[in-house]
Amino acid sequence: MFAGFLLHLSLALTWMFLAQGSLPEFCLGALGSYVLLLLFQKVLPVSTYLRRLHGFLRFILVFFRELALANITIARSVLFQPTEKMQPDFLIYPVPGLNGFEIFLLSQCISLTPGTTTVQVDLDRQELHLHAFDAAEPEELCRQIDRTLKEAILAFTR
Amino acid sequence: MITSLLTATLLLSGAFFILLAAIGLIRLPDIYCRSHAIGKAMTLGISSLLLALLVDLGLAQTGLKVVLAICFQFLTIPIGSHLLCLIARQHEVPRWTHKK
Repeated sequence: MFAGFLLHLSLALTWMFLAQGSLPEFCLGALGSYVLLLLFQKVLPVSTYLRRLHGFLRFILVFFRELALANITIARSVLFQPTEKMQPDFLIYPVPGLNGFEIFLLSQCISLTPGTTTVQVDLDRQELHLHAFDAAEPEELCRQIDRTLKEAILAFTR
Repeated sequence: MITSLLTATLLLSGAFFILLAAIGLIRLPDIYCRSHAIGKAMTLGISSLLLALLVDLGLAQTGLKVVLAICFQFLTIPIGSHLLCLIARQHEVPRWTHKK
């Protein structure tokens, strides 16, 4: 895992220095060396690194899609939803078996994604207390977080 | 031409989302709901404004600075809204419910 990352970084840096550029050339070098790593993954110890890199890229995509969705949802409820129809409530989302960094990332993402904000992180009992904007179906909300965010985060941290 | 169009779109949408956060702050019933509006709309609004800066000035001039600034928005604003909620809950600020 670490060897793959170092190899990728040093290839990209080498390209940047040879091309005598800065950030744009570094990005180009990172892209080119990514293709090289893909081609030579049979003979180099980079398969774990590549799997986690793919997981990370997918997480970024999922995150931005959820962020856009969250803002559309909040725009709709701020502008059009009458106050009588709101059903805000607290709910508890269990996170068994996740380490500190994963819980931090997950709570951060939950705050930025549709309908939920983290209120309290209970590290001892491994659960997050959330506040949901529309808590008509708490189980459905938990399952949705499981499906999108938790899966995407675990794909690149493990 | 395309650059200026993109810049204008990003600036306008950023301003729209910040306005949305402000409207939400007034219109939503209690502190927990308000932190939803602040946390989400503010993050996207400020990030759009910064992205507009990046598009307008070009990657060579702004470089990593704008990217770093956007990262800090994503790190700090959710923590801010989280802490507001946490303190409100510890002080037992009453939660808005339907009047029966």
